[in-house]
Amino acid sequence: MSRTTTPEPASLSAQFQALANQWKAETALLSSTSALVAHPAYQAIIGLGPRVIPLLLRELEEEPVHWFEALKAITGEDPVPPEHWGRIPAMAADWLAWGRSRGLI
Amino acid sequence: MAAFHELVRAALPRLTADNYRITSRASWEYNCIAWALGLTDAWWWPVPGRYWPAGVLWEETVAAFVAAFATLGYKPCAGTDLEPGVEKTALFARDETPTHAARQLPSGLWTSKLGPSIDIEHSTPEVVGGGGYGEMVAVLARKAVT
Repeated sequence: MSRTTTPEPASLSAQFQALANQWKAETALLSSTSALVAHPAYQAIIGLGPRVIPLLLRELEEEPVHWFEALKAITGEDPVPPEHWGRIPAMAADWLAWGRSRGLI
Repeated sequence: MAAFHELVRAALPRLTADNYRITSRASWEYNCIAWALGLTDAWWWPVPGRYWPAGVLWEETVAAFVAAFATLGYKPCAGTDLEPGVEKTALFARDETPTHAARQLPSGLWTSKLGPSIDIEHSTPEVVGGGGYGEMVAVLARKAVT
């Protein structure tokens, strides 16, 4: 199946990667989901808006980084059923299925 | 890896080259709470979207975390000394907010999962305190599960 999304501007990708790298470095030892999500870089990624969704999903394809709260905040949707809460590979699979069903990845 | 050691020691200043070693690769799939309970199949935290045991208050308090550990048989105990047939965990908090948990190994050493990063083996529970994790606020124990 061919991808129908338009490539994101290089500047958006660079901005996202810089924020993601900052977030990962500055929260590398934190278990608290509250603290992870409250970090300014994570909130700035949410602030990038819907354009960043394909980038978040593509990262989720690589490894189950906790982009779930960002995706939920940006999209207003949540495809993760409560029985998957905390089961990170299942949560990533739920979001990837959501993205594929919308042609976002 | 040197940079990671630098990051760890900056955040957890009691760690030295002699009192800890890295024992796993990084993983986003489980956190310190799960690891302290001997689990690697979930990320435990009392927020929507993460695992938290049924019947326990969804709040970031020491009492709620102690109650969560109790669902798997852990009860408060007096000290961190190694006792045959007993599994111990140590809960850490900063400003009364839980931050971290560690588990005693049969050898008497301790093990911690550091956020979404690596697992480490460390000499005592206290050596992961004094920094970002605050201090040890509870020791919990249960009969060893064979």
